[in-house]
Amino acid sequence: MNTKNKFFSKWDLLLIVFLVAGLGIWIGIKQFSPPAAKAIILLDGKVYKVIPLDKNAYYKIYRGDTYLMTVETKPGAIRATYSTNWIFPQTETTQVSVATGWISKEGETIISVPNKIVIYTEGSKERTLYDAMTYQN
Amino acid sequence: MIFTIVVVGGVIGAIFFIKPTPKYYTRYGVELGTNVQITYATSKGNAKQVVDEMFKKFSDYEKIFDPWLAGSELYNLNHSDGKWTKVSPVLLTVIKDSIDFSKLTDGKFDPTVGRLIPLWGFNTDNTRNWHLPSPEEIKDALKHVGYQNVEIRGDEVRLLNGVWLDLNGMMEGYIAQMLVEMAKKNDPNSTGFVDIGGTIGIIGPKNGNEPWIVGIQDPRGNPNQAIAYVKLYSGYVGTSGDYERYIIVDGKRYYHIFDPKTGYSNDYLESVTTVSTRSIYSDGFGVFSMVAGEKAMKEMAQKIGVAYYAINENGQVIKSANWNEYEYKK
Repeated sequence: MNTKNKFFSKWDLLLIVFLVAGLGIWIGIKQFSPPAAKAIILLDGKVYKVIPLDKNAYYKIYRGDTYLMTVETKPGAIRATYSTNWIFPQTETTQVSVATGWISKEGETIISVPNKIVIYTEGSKERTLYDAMTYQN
Repeated sequence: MIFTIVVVGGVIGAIFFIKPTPKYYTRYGVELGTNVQITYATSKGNAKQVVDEMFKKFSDYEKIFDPWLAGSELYNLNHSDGKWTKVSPVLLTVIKDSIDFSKLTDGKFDPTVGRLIPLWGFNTDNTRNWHLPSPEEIKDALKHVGYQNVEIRGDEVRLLNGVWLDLNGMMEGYIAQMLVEMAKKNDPNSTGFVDIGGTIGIIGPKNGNEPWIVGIQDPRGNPNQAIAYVKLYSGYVGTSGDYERYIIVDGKRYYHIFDPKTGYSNDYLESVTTVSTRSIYSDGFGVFSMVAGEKAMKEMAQKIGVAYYAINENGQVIKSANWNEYEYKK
């Protein structure tokens, strides 16, 4: 009498173990190894520069030969330190791009409307609780 | 072997039949003197192409609505010396809605404050130009303010008494609505949102059935700092406030929303966020409230059916009775 189980053999078991292990590794890579954080700088709606956020550094942004802004990076974060549309001290107005400070989460942005610059991050470990922000217009 | 075939078949079936979450494409930019974000997903065509088409529309809108751009439709109307001027359907709609709301608010909301804005320099992004005008200059400009000076005849508009229109109080909401409609026309089941300078129109719920979470910027915090959150499946949200276009002179804050009676900004509120099914109210109600104050804000909200979250000059939060429907708590 043949006692072999035709429905389920040891080779089936091995194949299933391989499939499950492979799936687990793939999910693990997707979930726990996000891409390295980087900052995307848009100027006039186009990508001006992509900066890996992996070190302390300063970068200057130009439109042609015209200097617009300096940004500073540190691991995982970026901020604007100077923008040419500087504040007028007598009126105490704030310069939004510089006042924004460090950004590190996906969903945060640095905007300079006068210079038409948008900076945001991708691949950050955290993202904002919000999908968008409403503010005065 | 049969078992393996069943398992592999099941996995392949699941891959094909489980509905995937939408893949969103997001594009940022600076348009119409403010920042823009459009996030969009569609199963019809390419989301990026649709968003790129939406962004192309901004140059058209600028040529219609920018009152300071020589040659724009609104610029030409403001300089038409009281003559009847034919305007495009888009401009006509926003003018009509603005005048209707002016009547409803008894002139607390008034788009004819156009001549006041360059007096303060708030028509430019150059903060060096922002300054306190003399009382005489404001008095002179106020002679040319009053929505009663706007006459509409079919598709023609006439501006009397030298008034200049500035439609910023409703323009962004209306543009958000047009872009939402454009996205829905491409695919009625598409989802995402349009954000034009903080005025946000929802195209469709996140992932098909979840709300989009919108932060309300802390008026005394930095631009990424939310003081509260709104959850929206549809409709519009917008904010008016005193914290971006402003100057402080001798310790007093002056900002870009003027009381049409005095020519100066009022200090009743720091910020008003409005949720509405109508795009024009998501902006217009906030502008009205900044001018009219708390009591009038509450009465008007009930009249036109909007929800609001405001912060008064003492930093206290004031919410409409129906705000709970939209409030998202962490």
